[in-house]
Amino acid sequence: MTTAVSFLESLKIHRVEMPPVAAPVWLQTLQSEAWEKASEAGLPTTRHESYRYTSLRALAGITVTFAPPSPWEFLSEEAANRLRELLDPAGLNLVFVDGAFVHELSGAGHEVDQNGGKNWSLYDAVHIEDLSEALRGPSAEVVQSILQDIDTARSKLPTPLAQVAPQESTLAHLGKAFMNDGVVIHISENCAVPTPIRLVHVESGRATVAFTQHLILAGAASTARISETYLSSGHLSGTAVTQQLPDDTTLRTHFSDTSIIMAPNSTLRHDRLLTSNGNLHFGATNVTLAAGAKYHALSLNLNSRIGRHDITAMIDGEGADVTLDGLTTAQGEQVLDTHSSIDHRVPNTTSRQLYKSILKDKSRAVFSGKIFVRRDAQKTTAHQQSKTLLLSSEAEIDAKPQLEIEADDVRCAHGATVAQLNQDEMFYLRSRGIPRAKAEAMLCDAFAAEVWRSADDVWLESLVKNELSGFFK
Amino acid sequence: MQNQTTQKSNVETILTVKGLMAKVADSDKQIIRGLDLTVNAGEVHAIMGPNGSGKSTFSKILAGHPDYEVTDGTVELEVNFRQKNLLEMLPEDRARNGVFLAYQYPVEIPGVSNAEFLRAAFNEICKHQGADEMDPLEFDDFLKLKLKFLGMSEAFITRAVNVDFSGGEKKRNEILQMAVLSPRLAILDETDSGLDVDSLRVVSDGVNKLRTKNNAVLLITHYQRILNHIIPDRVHVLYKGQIIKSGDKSLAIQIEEHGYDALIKEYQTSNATPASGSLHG
Ligand SMILES: Nc1ncnc2c1ncn2[C@@H]1O[C@H](COP(=O)(O)OP(=O)(O)OP(=O)(O)O)[C@@H](O)[C@H]1O
Ligand SMILES: [Mg+2]
Repeated sequence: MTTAVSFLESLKIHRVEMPPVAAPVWLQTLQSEAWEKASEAGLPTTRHESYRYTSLRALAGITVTFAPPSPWEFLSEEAANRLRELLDPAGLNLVFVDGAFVHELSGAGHEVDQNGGKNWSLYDAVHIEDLSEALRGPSAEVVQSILQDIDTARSKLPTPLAQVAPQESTLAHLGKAFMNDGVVIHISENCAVPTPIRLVHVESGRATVAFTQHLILAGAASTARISETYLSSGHLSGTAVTQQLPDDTTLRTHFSDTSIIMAPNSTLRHDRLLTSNGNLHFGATNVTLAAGAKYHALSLNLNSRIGRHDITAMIDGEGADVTLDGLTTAQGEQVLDTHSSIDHRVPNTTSRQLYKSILKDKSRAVFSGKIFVRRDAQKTTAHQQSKTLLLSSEAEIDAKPQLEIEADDVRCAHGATVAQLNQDEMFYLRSRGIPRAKAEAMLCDAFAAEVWRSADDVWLESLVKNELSGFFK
Repeated sequence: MQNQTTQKSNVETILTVKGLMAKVADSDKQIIRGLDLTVNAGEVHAIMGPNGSGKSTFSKILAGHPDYEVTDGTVELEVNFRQKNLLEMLPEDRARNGVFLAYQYPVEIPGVSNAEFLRAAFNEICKHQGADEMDPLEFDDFLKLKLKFLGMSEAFITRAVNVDFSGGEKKRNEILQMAVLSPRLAILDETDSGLDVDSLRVVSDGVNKLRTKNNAVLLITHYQRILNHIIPDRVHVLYKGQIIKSGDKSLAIQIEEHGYDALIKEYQTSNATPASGSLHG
């Protein structure tokens, strides 16, 4: 499609004009190979199965602009203050504005050692480094090994889980081609990180294209909580959540990838909140689990013009356990996609998923949940549930559970329900004096809360509640 | 409108039902077939009648349930000394103007805590009356007083509305809501059914406490038992959507002893053609 190509063309100009500063050879090779693959394949279209509803046509009108090197300096005083208030005073905050790392605001609390401005450590439990530094410094080997491990793990994905057409991998390749901003988080063996690690992404409101790559290494028997939040500019300007779609020329576009390697018996709580009103967001999470590792993720996709999250869990060790929960809220003509894939490769592993969606107006959501149980993966337990509340007859959900089971001794179940608000519940509330709109909001809140409450995280909760109260109004 | 038709007497009429006919919405199934009833302030009226006679349907129509469609007749509610057309009001407005229905089958609402629900309802009514709303802490104290009065455990208020409540607990929860909202017209649909002796005491104490000369109670029941605790001013028998007989408390005793058969026969012989006229009084 000619329009789609123009986005790539426009990105190409950036690649030529702004080559990464002093990139080591391995990185140059990796990035130019990724770029070649992306530009050769081109962007996926709605003819490709995994992009059937995610039309990338909106990318066509975008003039590619990257954030300036210190986006922090471009924020208004008010926005900067709002950003400071947003941060978790009890957390280790890593702040990104329009995708670019803001060192000045990162770190937090007195326990944090900030070593030379570009990396942080909390006791010896966790070491965090700016990716752009890590790519060029002594940590490059760690970065390379994480990228390689994820690549290897992904290459073993069975055909039904892997993206089949080359176009379906284009966004992932673009992510690599422009990889620069992000962090490398290394959680030490046998350590429990005492405070949550917050990857706080905010949009300034400028029309930019951002690429983010986070790499997480969870050491053996470590425990940590990491939350990734992608917040719209509404959170900075103090204005209410905007409903209307901005015109294409001011669209913000964010491509974000988080790759996680979990060593044996590590535990990670990983929450991801997207409230990128009116903008385009393409996110991916890839995680590999060694024996006994426990990964618990919550994916909150609340309001984006296009918001997509692909989450792939590759279970490579016995006794590993995966929980993927999710909540989607969409309104207007928003399109929100969640694609989860869980690959049970070894015996005795468990996974469970609960995905809920609440859709208003003419919005659309996709929940594609793939579970693969290999022939050797006996005694697998896998549960998947998707529940949708349709608040409008024009809203649409496409819930696609897909189970492929090759082993015979397994316990797998999936279910998908789509419903409207329960009229008996509505009447009960109204007959106690609660007006219709308020009653609807209470019931939606209750429906959503089952998912987000499991995060058990006060800081995240207040962001979610704020976003939902705007949605249910 | 019929604002002027209020009787000239010193008793205030809270509810006036005249020739009410109603059917199941989206169907021809007629359930209420010419029902007349007048309830004055300070009164308790008991409504009895065989299964399926339309008692719950009548109570839900008063609350504004969308499952039913009124095809004829009028229902008026006294609001600030004026007779208002109840049928034109939204369910929430009926509640705000003092109509309360304790359901025969209370609905479970997963995920909404009882305290949150009660506070939302209470504050809506405060707002309607121009009173200050209560914040969560203030309301918590208020709620605890009500619980204490009803001899109910505080565990009730943190749980989700009616979810996994036993049958008796659900009934008690309806009474708690009634105590919190102090309605002008309380309609209790078989709130006494399935209650143990202690719960029955809680329910009747709750009703008696609410009873003042300014409000009224419609008590739908199958049993004479509760009427020993809550003495009714009138007892009505509903049959096939009509009140076929009205009397005082002795009517309830008569029904308990002899059942409805004799009453129904008596009605059928005296009414060869089912009419919509008033039969009680
Ligand atoms: N929504 C509905 N759709 C179809 N039929 C209905 C509906 N509601 C009530 N009915 C029918 O109307 C009749 C009266 O029902 P209602 O529940 O009012 O009886 P009741 O007097 O309360 O009986 P009970 O003593 O058993 O509680 C019954 O035949 C019932 O099946
Ligand atoms: Mg009934």
